[in-house]
Amino acid sequence: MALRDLQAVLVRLYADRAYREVFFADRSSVGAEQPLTETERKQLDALRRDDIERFANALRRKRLGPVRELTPALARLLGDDFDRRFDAFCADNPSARAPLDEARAFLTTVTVTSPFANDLTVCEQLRLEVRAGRNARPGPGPPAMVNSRLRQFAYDWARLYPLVARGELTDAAPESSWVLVGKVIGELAVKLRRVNPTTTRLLGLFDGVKSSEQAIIQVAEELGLNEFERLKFREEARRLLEQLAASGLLA
Amino acid sequence: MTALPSFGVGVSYRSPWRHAVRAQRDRLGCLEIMADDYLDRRPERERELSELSDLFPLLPHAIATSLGTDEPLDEGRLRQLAELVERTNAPWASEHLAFTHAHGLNLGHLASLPFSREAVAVVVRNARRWRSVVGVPLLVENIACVVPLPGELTEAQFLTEIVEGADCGLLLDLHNVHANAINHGFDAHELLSSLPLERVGQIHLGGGHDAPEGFRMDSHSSATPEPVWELLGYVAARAEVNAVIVEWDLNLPPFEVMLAEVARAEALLREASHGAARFAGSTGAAVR
Repeated sequence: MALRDLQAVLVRLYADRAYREVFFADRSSVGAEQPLTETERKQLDALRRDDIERFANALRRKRLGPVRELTPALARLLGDDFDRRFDAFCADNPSARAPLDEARAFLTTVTVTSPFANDLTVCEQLRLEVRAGRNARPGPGPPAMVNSRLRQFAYDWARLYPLVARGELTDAAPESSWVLVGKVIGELAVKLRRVNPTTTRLLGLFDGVKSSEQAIIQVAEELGLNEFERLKFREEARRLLEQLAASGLLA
Repeated sequence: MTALPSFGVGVSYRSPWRHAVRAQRDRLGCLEIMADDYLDRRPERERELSELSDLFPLLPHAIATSLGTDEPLDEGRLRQLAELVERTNAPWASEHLAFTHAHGLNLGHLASLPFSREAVAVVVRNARRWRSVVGVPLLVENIACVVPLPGELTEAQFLTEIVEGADCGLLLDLHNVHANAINHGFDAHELLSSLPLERVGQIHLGGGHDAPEGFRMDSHSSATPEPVWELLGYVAARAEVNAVIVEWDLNLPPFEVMLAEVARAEALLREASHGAARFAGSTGAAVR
């Protein structure tokens, strides 16, 4: 059997569980479309099911490892169920992708009934979305939420996420929270930061068109602040924006 | 034949060790980096790379080139590898003797090749193409073989014909030799004695785990086992090696554990070379 043909059979044996079942049930089914020579038939007959299954399992674990690392809290929360779901995902998606793409595709298949796990799944999806971004540097134009996302969750993931990831928490009381999910410039990790309603409103105005000054004035007006309060608010808001821009959360 | 510089002993870099490698820079001769992580030039990875290349000689090590696939190599990927080599000023780069994809299906990891002349020809053709685009010497790594495939060559003949046919060096993974010896019933020293050790430019150390039925898995999940240290002593006594890298992927240990492995490898190499300054920045003569 030419190497090219052998590899065509091998990749399917390794990655495609259904194909593996058919092959080991009846090896002669392989090559039915193009008759094999005696030597080629011997090559296929020499394949041992134990070896193939062992390697297929190893491949699944290799795919699973980075996905668990990229979604540590959900992996910890779901435990063995996370791995079982990923096995099912691999069965439906025999071709591996880059880890980040793999994790994002996998999360779209995860459905859970617990509100806690469901909200965490959304948080993990957002973390991966931010991580996949290009991490733009702050430019001279009006600020925009390029490297971060702002989202209202049913739980305060800025506080709870590390606890779940360490296995110290498996449920909590709901606590509606706005959380800024962002990638700090030059860092690989995605950070979560809870923000108050005023900051949420302010950041929500950064659409890449309004200047930070215009956004600050608009929020100050909406809050009905007096002149003294406005000055104080402006100062605080500027400090916060500088901080966010320095860490790259606002570009 | 081009002589390559020697870099001593280092580790295969993982991002959680970013601060530790900086703090322990004097205790590491070099770092191996996973080339695939840096090919798309994401800004955060570029920054990491720049930091590391300021501190260490970097040795790019790739996984997904698939030298053993009987198809033309991905030219875009080769150009990315060439750019990475240029950015890091790497003296060589390495890849596995395996295939990771075929017919549009990506396995995401290393599948073994049959020890056949046909597979040798495919790898040699691809390795030459790799060399002509990437522009630095290529070291090819022996892998742990889970699924043995029929072929007319022994593993030693297979490796020898490839490195000689492609005129490249060997990245000798000693845990893979150890695992294959256990799993497929041969003597590891015998295999090593049949290899062209003068072509060994780099060595991998690492550990694995025992799966059911005593099958040894190369999982990079534990410390280097004693038999692998013995193999290192055997090779070091017979060949000049340009770099030794300790690998660990799963359940990363505290960095002190890695440093202890590095120190043990250095001591063993010193002993093997009878105190000669083989790893003190001298120029090796082994690899093309």
